[in-house]
Amino acid sequence: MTERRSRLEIINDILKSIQNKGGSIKPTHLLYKSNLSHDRMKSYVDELKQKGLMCEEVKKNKRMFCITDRGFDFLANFRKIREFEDAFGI
Amino acid sequence: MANADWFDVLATLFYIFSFIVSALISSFSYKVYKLTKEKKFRNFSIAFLFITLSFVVQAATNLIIYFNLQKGSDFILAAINNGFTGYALLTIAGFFLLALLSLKITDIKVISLVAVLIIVALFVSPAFIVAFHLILLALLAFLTFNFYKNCCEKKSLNSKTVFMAFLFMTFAHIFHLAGRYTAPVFIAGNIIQFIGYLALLIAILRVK
Repeated sequence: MTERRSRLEIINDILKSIQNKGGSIKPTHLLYKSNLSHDRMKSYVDELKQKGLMCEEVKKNKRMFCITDRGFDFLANFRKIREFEDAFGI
Repeated sequence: MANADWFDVLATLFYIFSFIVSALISSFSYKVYKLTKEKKFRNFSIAFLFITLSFVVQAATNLIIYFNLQKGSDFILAAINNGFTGYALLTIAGFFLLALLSLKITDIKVISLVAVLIIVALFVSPAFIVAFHLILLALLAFLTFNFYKNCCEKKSLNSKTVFMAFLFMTFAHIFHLAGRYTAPVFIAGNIIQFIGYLALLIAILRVK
């Protein structure tokens, strides 16, 4: 059985999903990529938009979520934190 | 204690280097704590803060001995006598906390029991220095074994570097224990410890 993801891991998964899609993603795609319920994803998206880690834009009449520079910074920091954790096994 | 006066300056530089490495790890871990709010990073930072402070005390004591200031004042003589005790207690506190984190021991009863046993062993023993090195050696051995398991599991370069760093530190304390009687062994112990902290610096710089 896999362990429950921490809050930071969920945020990392959301932002990584957007990054892997070239910087912007459709809401429905993000929903299944992030593996969250609709309500939980909405609360995470609201929080991330408020903190400036992701944004919303309209492309060809379609609503899209995109990752900001702060979001990319978060992904880089998260990778460092994981490397630090792995190095010391804490 | 082994007589290696000429080595005191170099040893002090080693302690200052180890102080910088420990301080770097402590501050990085605190930064991670501020980002993640995970208590394990705060405790990890505190563990390395204790180790950092132990090197400050060790370096200061060494410098006082080197400049022979103890001849001039009773206060400084007392500072030298207390210097090693301060260094020992801070080091034990740091590595004990690190062992609790690394071995993921959270049971407060177990933690209290081991802490009491360490304090009793340190202060009741007729040979404080030997007791200190043996306790530290036991803590380092547990940590090294745990870092070995971690490096087998993660197989990353950083986990291997951390394991090597702690292996060197463990050997350094075997040398420190034996080095009480012969200067070359004492010097070798300090050099091995320096290599250990150098490996830790490489690991933390790769992460940063």
